[in-house]
Amino acid sequence: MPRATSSLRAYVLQRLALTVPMMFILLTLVFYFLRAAPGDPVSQILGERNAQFADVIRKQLGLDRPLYIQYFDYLRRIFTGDMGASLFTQRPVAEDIAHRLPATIELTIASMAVAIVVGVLLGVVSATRRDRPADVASRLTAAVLYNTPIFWFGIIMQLIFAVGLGWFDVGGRLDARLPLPPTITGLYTVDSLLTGQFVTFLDALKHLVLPATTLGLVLSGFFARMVRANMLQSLQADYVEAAKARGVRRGDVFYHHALKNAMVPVATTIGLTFAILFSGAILTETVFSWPGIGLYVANAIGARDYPALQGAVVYYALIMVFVSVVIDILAAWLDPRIRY
Amino acid sequence: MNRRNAIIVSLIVIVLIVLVAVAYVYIPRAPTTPTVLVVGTTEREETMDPSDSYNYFSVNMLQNTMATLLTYSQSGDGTLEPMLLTEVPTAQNGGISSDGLTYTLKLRSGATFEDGTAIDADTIKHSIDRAVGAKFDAASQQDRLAVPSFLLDAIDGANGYVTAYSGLTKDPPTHTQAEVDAAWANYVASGVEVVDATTAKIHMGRVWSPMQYLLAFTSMAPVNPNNYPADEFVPDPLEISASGPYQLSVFVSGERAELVRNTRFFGTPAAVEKVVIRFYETDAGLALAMATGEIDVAYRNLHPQAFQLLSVDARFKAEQGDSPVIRYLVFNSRDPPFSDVRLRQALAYAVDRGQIVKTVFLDTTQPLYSLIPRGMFGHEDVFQSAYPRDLARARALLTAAGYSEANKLAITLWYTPARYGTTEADVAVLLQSQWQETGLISVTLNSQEWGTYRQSFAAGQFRVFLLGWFPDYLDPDNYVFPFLHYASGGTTSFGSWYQNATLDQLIELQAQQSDPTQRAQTLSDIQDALAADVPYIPLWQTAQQVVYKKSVTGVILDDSQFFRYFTIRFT
Amino acid sequence: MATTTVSAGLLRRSMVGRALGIFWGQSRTVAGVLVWMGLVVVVAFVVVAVLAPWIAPYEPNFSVQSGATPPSSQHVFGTNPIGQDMFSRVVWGARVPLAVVAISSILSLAIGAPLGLVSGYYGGLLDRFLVLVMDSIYAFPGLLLAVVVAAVLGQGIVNVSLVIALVYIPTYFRVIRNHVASVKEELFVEASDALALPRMMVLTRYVLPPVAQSIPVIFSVSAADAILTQAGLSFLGLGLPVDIPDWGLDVSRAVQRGFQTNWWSAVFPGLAIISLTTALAFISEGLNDILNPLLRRRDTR
Repeated sequence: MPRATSSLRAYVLQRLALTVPMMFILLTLVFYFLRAAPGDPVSQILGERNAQFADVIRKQLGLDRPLYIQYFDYLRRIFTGDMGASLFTQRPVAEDIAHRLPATIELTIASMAVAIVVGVLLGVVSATRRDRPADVASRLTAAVLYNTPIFWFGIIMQLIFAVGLGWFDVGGRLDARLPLPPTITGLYTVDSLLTGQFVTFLDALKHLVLPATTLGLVLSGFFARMVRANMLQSLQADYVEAAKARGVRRGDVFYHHALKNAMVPVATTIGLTFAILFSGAILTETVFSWPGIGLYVANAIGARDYPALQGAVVYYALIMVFVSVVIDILAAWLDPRIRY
Repeated sequence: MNRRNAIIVSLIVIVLIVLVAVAYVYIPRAPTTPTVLVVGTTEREETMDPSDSYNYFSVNMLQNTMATLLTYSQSGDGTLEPMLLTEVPTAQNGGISSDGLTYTLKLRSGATFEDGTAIDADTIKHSIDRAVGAKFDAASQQDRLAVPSFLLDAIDGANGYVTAYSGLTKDPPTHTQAEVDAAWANYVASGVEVVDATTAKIHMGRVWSPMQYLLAFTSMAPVNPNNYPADEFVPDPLEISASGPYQLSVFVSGERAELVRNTRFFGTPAAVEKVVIRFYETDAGLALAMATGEIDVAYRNLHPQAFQLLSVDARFKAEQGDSPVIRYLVFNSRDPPFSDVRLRQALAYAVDRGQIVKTVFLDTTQPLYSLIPRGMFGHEDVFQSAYPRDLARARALLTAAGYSEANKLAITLWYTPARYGTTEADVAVLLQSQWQETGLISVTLNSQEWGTYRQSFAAGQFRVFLLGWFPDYLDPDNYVFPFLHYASGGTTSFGSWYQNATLDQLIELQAQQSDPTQRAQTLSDIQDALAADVPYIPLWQTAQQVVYKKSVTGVILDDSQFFRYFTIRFT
Repeated sequence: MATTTVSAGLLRRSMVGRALGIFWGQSRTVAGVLVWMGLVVVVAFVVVAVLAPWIAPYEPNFSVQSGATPPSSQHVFGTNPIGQDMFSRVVWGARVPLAVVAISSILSLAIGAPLGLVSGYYGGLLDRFLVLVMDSIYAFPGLLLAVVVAAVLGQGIVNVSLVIALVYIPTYFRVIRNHVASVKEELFVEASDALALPRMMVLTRYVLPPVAQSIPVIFSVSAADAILTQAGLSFLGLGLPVDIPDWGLDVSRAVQRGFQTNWWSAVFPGLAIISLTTALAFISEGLNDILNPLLRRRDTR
């Protein structure tokens, strides 16, 4: 046992050490891609005329210096936690992102919950009724869900449930007539509960339903496929055969042995699915006017707001690396078979 | 273990479902007595420092929270009224000196900011000097000029200062820091003069009649020296120290802004205690929010389809008003092929404004046949008589220029997808098919984001492209001088390079003519020349649209695009 | 040496034969049906794309009606608000995703596969470095990466394909690298190493053939994703110029114009996307089912 612990510790350290070059590669890629861009942020700020002021402003923003100097300056700033300021709002990007991060976290967690619940259900139905109509039907559902353009799906959901039936609002995090809850975590559902604002809590939850379902359902197709594959694999495993032979009830075999073991690889891939989730969040947040980081990125792209875009991408990268490391470590800790 | 987990998970799911159901039943969908006005928009804020704001929505927030020196009349026709001043300075009342070089500002007494700080002549000098001078920008960690400072260029000493300051940043510098400091000292001494507590004078470096309109612009609005130091930009919206009808209490970017009534405002108090502005990402999102009753008012920007749909809805009132924003095509007249006037004329004959206005805008806008917008002094529909849609004449001109079925004129039409709204791509598609209908032109479409677009056309990379004009002030001069005056670099800045010395003279002439009949004649000559040479093809004049619930009243569509929240009330 | 070459040749022939046999034999199983269904749909789309000028009744960009008209015998998918025939647009629109998928897959394969082969086979520092770079790109949200690069490259089919190729290079790289690494451990490769055969020869003769099997699977998985990414780019305004009929762009234009009164302008291009991506997903599902047991069996032997 002590040996295992020390090897786990070594693994954790190694994994953490790897994040440094990974971050560095991402930062470099992002910087050079964005600076190679033809769009000029200064022109973006100015109107149709006023060209004589463009040079002055460009100089003031430091956009006229050699690229490598800008690059080192950029790295130095990031290490000191300075992401620069948005060219348009002039506010520090780090501050903007800190304000928008909770919205994305709230949406991501809710979507992940929807995705796992629906995905596991579909996957289990598929695996337990292999090659029968129920399997085909749930595989078909999963395939169609996963292959639906998320923005299209979101709009259809809005049309049906917000415009048609009037059950939900089309967008935003909270009814405009309700005051915002005090900021504790930034997650409206949590903050309103913590401060006992029940109506606000319910309203925040209600606003979360459509975007989280849209994003979650699309991702559930991914989980369904994974759960099915893993369950089929464990159903063929010796211990399951043994359990069957021992005369353990069919349902118990599925749920105690097959599903439980199938869930380990599912849990370990959650880190990966976060990447898919974040991609989907850009489109979902745009459709539902959900003021998170995805929307911030979409806006920054349209405006060629380099500092904002860079800041957002750096944050994304940080979160992605952090999440993937944590999940890898958790997986290594959970599953003794994984050792590097 | 496993079963317990399953039970916990299903319990959580059930609780969530129940909660949502409860939420659906319990949350009042529409309070019986609305006290909060909710306005939806797809516009975005940029910096909120009054001296630095040059974006529609930032200026709009400032217009509703700051008292400007003058303001636009609530009749919405674009006439000026005093706000912080006691009268509009004119030559008649002595507010403008006979040589046109001195503006005397007489301030009302008793006006204060939300923290009780009085607004006096010193505040005015502080604010205007602040708008002219370079300030520290936290974003770039350097000093820079405010974006709309070019508008203040005519104030005595301002031009000298800006020239010196720009010279400092040139490579190699053409000016030294000492020269910049001297230019600044010269401006401070000569630009704005404090006469007494309620009187200030602005000295002009040259006669510039649009100055009056600038007194109503937010970059000249007095700012609270406690919040806005002279040497630093303050972009934070919550730093705005209100002197107008509302104060900004909450600002969550991309989500909402909240305005509450400013109890220290000297004028008519805002009608509704609290206004919440909800930000939407897409035109479609805004339209859906209106349709579901989430918002009370939708202003900027509804797609024409959505506007039409909402305007036939019995629950809403839809209104539209004029907007001074014009849309047109620009030709690069310097380079082939459009250095040949026949081709510009041929394209003008082949354009079908009616189809664009009807198909894309569902008749919510009107065709434009001159650069000077309809309803403005001097406007004449010169293109209507000169270029009715006529494919035969277009073909004749193209054939004369040497093009045929086998040798088509190949052009790329450029547009920019976001700046002018989501309808832009449809306009480009229609223009493409209209021109191709001649059978002698083949058109490719291409687009760039605004930042790139602006650079490309200024560098002469486009031959024909779509553009729009948001005027700096509502005077015909602002629709001919920048467009057609070559010597000042006007046509060059549009990527047109159109050059006509006679026209330059006529444009200079109309700016000095004070007799309306004489000026109208000059403007008419200018527009005739425009129609003969076709450096631009005017296409349509935009409209501004608003949709609101029938329970709301007091919405004013102003020619100047000033959207007031403080006049809106519930019936 | 002679024996190893012969056995490798046999192995290769039997692999292809087995795969074909399994395909045919599996046509009655669910997996087989999925693959065949997917193939039929994809081939149908390819045929439509190629024959677009003859199939489409109207010029896709021309305004043939004065506005939106519902589906009718004249316009089976209706016309959109600017009067374009939706059926013609859907037909022409098939060209974009197919072209994008073809170009981007070839590019991803051409870059990702050799790198994966080399990295997996030679190992060492080069392998570590490549894995690190590819993992960094892979860990990054695909659409975010695409959006950033697309903003730089600008519009057009080739540019969009380049963007998508970049996103999927790590996918090809990872699968092939891992596969090579595992094949490398197998006896016959070790044996040929022991016989001191030239490394390139070992690579192309003994490592490549079994690894090549996974390419159709990666292709069918990433193709569907690529189409969705392309549609997402179009939705965010980073796709193609508007005079190229494109499903993703048509959906986003319909959304921008408001399609409550003309659902057909958004629904048909949306359905076209889903049909094609789902068909590709069926192929990958089926292939996985068919090829995986085979691979596993071989592994355990």
